[in-house]
Amino acid sequence: MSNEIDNLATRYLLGELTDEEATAFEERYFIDPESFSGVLAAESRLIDEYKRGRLSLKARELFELHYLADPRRRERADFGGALVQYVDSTRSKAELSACSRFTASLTSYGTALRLAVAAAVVIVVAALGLYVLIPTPDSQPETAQVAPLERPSPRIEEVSETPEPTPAEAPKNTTGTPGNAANPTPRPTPPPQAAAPRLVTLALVAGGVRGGTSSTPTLVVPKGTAEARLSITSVENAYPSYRLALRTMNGDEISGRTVKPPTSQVRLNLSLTVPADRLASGEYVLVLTGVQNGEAGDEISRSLFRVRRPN
Amino acid sequence: MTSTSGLNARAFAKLMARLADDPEQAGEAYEDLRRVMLRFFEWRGAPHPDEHADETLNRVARKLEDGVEVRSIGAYCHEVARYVLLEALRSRDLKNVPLDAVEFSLHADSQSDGKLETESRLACLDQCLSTLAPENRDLIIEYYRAEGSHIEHRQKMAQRFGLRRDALRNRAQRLRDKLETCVKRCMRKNE
Repeated sequence: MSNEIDNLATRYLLGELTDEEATAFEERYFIDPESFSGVLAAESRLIDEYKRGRLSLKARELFELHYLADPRRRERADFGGALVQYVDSTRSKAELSACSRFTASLTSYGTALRLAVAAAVVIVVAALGLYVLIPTPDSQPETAQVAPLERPSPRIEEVSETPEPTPAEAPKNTTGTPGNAANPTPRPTPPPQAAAPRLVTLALVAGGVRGGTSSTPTLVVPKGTAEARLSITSVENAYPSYRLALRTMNGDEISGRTVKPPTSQVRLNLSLTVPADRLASGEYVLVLTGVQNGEAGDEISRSLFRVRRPN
Repeated sequence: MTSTSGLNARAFAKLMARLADDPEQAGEAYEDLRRVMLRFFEWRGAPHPDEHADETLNRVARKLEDGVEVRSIGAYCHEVARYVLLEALRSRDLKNVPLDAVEFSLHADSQSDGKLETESRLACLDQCLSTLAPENRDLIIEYYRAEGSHIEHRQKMAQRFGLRRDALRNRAQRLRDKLETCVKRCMRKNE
């Protein structure tokens, strides 16, 4: 596929072409099968890259605001998400299988080694069992959750109505309204356990920055964690859409998403899920902005938090 | 939209003859053209792409039967499809659905993709993949796997499958479309 077709097709699918340009491009793909194949390939690529969290910030925004605005296209994107999940997990299985073959080759060295491997497996299984069965105060913190991974894709953001936030999901909102310089409520995550969770979460209340103190909310990301979900709770629904962005203290954006909430909801929970490997130990800011007429406008809150990655 | 559905055999035969001399090739060309139209209507956000594609093909066939001279069948189909699209969008707008209601339903759909639905879709995908020939199953899984440079990866794949890169891309895309249709049907059956 030529770069020209790919470029045009991408802009066409993201709604970036003028009507005249789009019409001319459509005539071209009606006439030329290669151009049509190019648009199909560009569409699949956009979906897959979006689902894998690899689109640029601008492309991601356009994809969400334009491409996903249509229910049929959204259904196609959901299918693409399943396909990506399937093929990526197939690769993981292949890697696991290679690991198993390695273990098998080790055990072929002799009975003693086989017994040692078996004993190690028993110990690991027992440790995992204890971790799952015995609730400890640390594993059930008041304000943080460790949940099973729902989807591997970074597009797990949600907007949901939260008239009565549950204690596990949202801390008390000290102000009740966004825009006030309320401090985020600290929401510690559990310390590392025998088995790393696949998803760690941190919920913050919409408010202003507070930094560098011992009460700064901390997200502990144990080794092996796949994803981290960051939420802002109790956001007053006052804008046509919102942008949630995760930034480093230098202002570099790590991840972000624009969402359009239903007008009928009074308060919202907005969340952003990022691959855990994008979060090194350090301080970050979760910035919530109101979006009007497609342009980022008022900053509603900046929530500082800390990431700690135990060795 | 004014419906002109119902196509006589003569008009249909005219269209098929215009697409290709050989009936089998004409049948394939018809399906390809319909596929282009379906996507066109989807990408343009038309309410009923299937119906609009059929309506467009019917109108083109009637015009051919009426003796309208068409230089490029693709370009002519595009022109007619644009009219059908404008009519469809106008007709939808006339229904006067409050914008808020539309936005709400769109949003609600986008957020309904919960864990159960995702699991159900994956189960359907697994089921649909199992209906493919092993060679095709391997092809689609490998093609869409993200490994290093896509270009290099797909070049190697094309060599291994004995295909040109364009042919490999088209084959993978057709398999993907087939899987998507299968998964959609499976999901609706499970609803």
